[in-house]
Amino acid sequence: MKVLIIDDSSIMRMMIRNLLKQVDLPDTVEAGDGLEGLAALGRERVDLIMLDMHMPKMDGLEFLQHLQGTPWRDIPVIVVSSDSDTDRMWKAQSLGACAYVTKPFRIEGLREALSVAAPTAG
Amino acid sequence: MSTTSPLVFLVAEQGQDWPARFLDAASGSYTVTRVPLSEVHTCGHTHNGARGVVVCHDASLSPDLGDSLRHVRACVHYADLPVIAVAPSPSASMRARMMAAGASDVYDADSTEPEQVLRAVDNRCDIEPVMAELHDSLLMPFVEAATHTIEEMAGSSVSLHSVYQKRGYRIFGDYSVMVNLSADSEGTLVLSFPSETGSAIAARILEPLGADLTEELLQSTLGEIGNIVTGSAKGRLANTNYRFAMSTPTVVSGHNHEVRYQPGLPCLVASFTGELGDFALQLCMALPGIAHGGES
Repeated sequence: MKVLIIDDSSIMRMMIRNLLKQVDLPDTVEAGDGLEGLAALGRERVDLIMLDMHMPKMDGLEFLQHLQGTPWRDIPVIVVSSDSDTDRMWKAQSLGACAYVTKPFRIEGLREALSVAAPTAG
Repeated sequence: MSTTSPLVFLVAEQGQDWPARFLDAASGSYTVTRVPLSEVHTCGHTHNGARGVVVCHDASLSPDLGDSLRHVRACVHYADLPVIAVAPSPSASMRARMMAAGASDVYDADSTEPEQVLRAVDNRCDIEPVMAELHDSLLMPFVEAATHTIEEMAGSSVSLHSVYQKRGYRIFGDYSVMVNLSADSEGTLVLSFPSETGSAIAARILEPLGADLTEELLQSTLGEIGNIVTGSAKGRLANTNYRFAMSTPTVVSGHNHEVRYQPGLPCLVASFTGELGDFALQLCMALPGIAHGGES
């Protein structure tokens, strides 16, 4: 299973990559914003997306809106955000996100999100 | 009615003439606590509650007053306290070095009376208690968010040292993470770290990732901390009058840089202490229903 990590923070991409390794998901590809994420989807076969909300150029909600009109709309998306505002969570869910993890999070939070978004993973 | 003499710290070695005259001038009107320059780095939190600090320079004892002033700034937890440097015949370059290191002003010991310096401390003091209506409802959610974020990410305990309110712009620290806040409440959140604290926190977070601490990773880590603190506070304030949208963080580095807020707005400050060092959170917001006297 290949996971696309979309986050503008290099440290957060490292942390997510490290946690994914711990749940036996070492195959990752990374993007620094929504536009780079869409470009990565055009290049790579991806099975799961970990998506940040606050990013320059194209943020998480804009990415979800764009994703709906693409062939990749059925790829499960886990939103990973510092923003714990419930309105934003609902909006992400209404645009197709399967699960929402609030930063900072530990491996238990990732496992819980994976159990919803990709039950066969981890 | 009982009165308390304002507290002033005097940082000076024994045997100097000017500090002795300063103590005489302050006697009866001020409570002065004297600390030797050579021991200022051990002062810890003892400056808490002071109205200002007067640092007397003696070139024969401490050739690098800039370093001493940095220690003083750390000891006062980067509060915008007036720190007045007094040195014999300071040259223009020496004045510039002292100001860059955190001095509020530099006076010539050969031509300045102690009373003049005491007036400067009084005039420059910019610290007030946080308005009661803002303490619990606005500042504490940010304090809880900052404490939780550092503890979760770095696995290190953090405790609140002090809170106060100021109007000054100057921020004392080596790295500042700024996040713009908008919507019902407009403002800026700034997290300020001395380089030692920033590096220690980033190194702790990077350790399990097997990554070496580089300047880029340090700034990325501090930026993400600012992002998470703001997001966490946003959730805590979602159902209040203080709800806001947040920008992506910007990290500014450089010793004692200046960050300009919207003029006239009160700036709420919380300073923290912990095993990895001290840091401060500064929140400047235009607040619905709260009057503020400055221009907008």
